[in-house]
Amino acid sequence: MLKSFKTLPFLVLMCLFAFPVTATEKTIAITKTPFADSFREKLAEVVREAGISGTSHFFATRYSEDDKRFYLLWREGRAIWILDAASDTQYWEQLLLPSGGSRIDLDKDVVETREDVGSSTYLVDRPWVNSVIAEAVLEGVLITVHNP
Amino acid sequence: MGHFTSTTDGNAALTKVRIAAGTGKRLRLTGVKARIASDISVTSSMAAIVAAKLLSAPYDGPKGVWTVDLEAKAEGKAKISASHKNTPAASIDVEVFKPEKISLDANSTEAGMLQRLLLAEAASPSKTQYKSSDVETSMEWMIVVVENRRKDKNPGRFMARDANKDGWDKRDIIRAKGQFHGFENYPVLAEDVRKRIESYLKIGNDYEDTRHDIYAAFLKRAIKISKASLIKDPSPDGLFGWRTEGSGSPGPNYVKFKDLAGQTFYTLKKPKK
Repeated sequence: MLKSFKTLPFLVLMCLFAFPVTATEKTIAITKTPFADSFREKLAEVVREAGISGTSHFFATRYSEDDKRFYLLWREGRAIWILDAASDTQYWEQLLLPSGGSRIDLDKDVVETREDVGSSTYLVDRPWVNSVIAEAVLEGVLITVHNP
Repeated sequence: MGHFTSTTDGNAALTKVRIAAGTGKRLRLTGVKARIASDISVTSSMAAIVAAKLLSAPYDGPKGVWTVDLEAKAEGKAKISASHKNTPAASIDVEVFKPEKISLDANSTEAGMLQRLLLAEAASPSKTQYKSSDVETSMEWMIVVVENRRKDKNPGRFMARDANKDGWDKRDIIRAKGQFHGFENYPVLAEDVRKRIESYLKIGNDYEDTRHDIYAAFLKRAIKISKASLIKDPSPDGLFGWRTEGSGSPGPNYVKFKDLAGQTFYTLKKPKK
């Protein structure tokens, strides 16, 4: 027991160096911001425009004060958006008018490897997609939208 | 004494406003604590140019805020004056101008093709935290990428196809498989790209849309850049690609050059000697 106590400070120091706490940890959920309502309304519009009835599940990754980029996964719509909580949060046009590669179609825009991405400006590789999905589902927030 | 303001900023007094002919504009008349609307008179010095109508219900009665709708009829200048029980309360100069219609070059032209590519790929005004100058530069860099791929010894490595007897042109580069979302069958665009560009044009030509100015500037920027000559390549190694920031990396032959206006631009790895 005494031996364990002596090694404890050493272990704590090791952990501090191995796992430094950063000032930019992603803790902010879009659902807990002043933009939550406008965001939900725009998601409802997205679902209506797509004509997908029933309940849609959106998973949004968290972001930080320093980097307000976050990812939004739409399970039923099979899409991922790359969004920015610092930009237009009144109209959320990024959702309905996504520029360039900021909306990824999971059925058409995913290739197996980074080599397969090659010179594409929009295709994404599967390991990247999987990491975004994992972050969104496991650490993000869920927003459900019902379209009758 | 009252004053006119916009509907979005009730604190800033307006002394003049510009309205496109054939459109309307809503203002607030502030600081006129009238009991009823008929105690207020709102008139135009030139009704044939712009008409003004005071809404009967106050916007905020206790604070003396009313709503005035202007209707711009013909080009010219006029003054809108408000008075309360015959005492002058506020006035504003109005200039009615001929609306400008923004349209893209024909999709059969190189400029028209580049305009559509830039509008599809560049950060749109929805990303309002970006500086418009940065967006303009990013558009220039996109033109550089297309041109560098075209001039390359082997554009086939950018999936270019259909080279004609004179070599590759920008159309071959832009229509290359898997390179620019929605452009593989250009001039036929993917539906989502076509709809988005149509939306930009609609907003940029709708003077009654509060987003009009920023979208009009975005459209004009793309049109201007599409016709620019001799855009300087910012990279000594040449720009050869871009991707939306945060969308993962391109293939392993690409080296990041710089992030700009929501895009990450890339050069190519130098071949080993």
